[in-house]
Amino acid sequence: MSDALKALLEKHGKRLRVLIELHCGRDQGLDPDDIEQEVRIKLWKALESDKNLIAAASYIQKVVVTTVVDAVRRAQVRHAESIEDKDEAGFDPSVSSPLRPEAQAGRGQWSELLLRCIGELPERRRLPVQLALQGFTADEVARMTGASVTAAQQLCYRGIEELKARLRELGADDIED
Amino acid sequence: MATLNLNALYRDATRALPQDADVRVTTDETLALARGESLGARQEAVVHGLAASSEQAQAVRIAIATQSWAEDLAADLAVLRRPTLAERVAVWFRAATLPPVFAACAISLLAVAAWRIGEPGTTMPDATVPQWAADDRLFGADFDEAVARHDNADELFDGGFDS
Repeated sequence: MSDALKALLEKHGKRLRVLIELHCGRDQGLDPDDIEQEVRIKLWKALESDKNLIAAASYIQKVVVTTVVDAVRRAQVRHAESIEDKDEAGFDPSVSSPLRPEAQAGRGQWSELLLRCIGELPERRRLPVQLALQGFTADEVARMTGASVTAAQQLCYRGIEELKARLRELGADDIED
Repeated sequence: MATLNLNALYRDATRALPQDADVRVTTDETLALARGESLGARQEAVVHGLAASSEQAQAVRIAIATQSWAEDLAADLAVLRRPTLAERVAVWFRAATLPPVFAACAISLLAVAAWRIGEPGTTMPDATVPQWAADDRLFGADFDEAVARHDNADELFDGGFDS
């Protein structure tokens, strides 16, 4: 049973690693291998300690979500510490930072400008644009806001185009989305 | 010249959790949103919470992305942990409220079986079945017609009857 469980978790772990790689890129300071291993160990311990545990999909997802959130918080702490330390001890290459130090100063300013421009968007476009920038698809935005998919697509598209135009006026020459 | 990635820039700008506790998203709400369920009165606040926090948004995105994976793993685990027939019988017997009665019945049956095997000659006799006569013997003898038609009734008693 233990060997079979181990093999099963390893088999599914590979797929989980790919999903984490896709949805929590390394640029955010997350290591998909670490997250996958942590999820696998948590599930293993839970299933071994309680033989009657029914590992429903929601339980498994909860383990994944809490592990990812913990990893995100740890990455943020590392990121904050790396910024504090860089002036004193130089840049530590072992610390995974979501942002290159040389780019941080300028990005901070642009972040503030972006938030200001989002605040100036018409209210009906603001929330769909924010959700789109957080990485949600038009379908997901539509489902969450109660709008139709077409309406969500248009609100996101027009809102982002408006943001780009405003940021160009402020000096941004090249904008990716 | 500045090259901006709007998504990365916005996620960086919204790293911190929202100050407003109302727009903080719990794990259960995250999973419910991932399943496409409505959160009722909390829906609006939760969606604003996702817009305002890249951490919360990422939790929902990863929950959506891992949904089918989690379902597949749960199904495989259920197969792996399915009890064998013997285990199921043992569990059922433990859960039954009258195990001493079952035990007594089993012992009684064994005792009867042992007795039947040990003494096969003392089996119960076949039930007595009434045997019908081949013919009706009650009136089977020849009827004496002469006696029946005798006019002299006195002869019946050898003439000793004093009428």
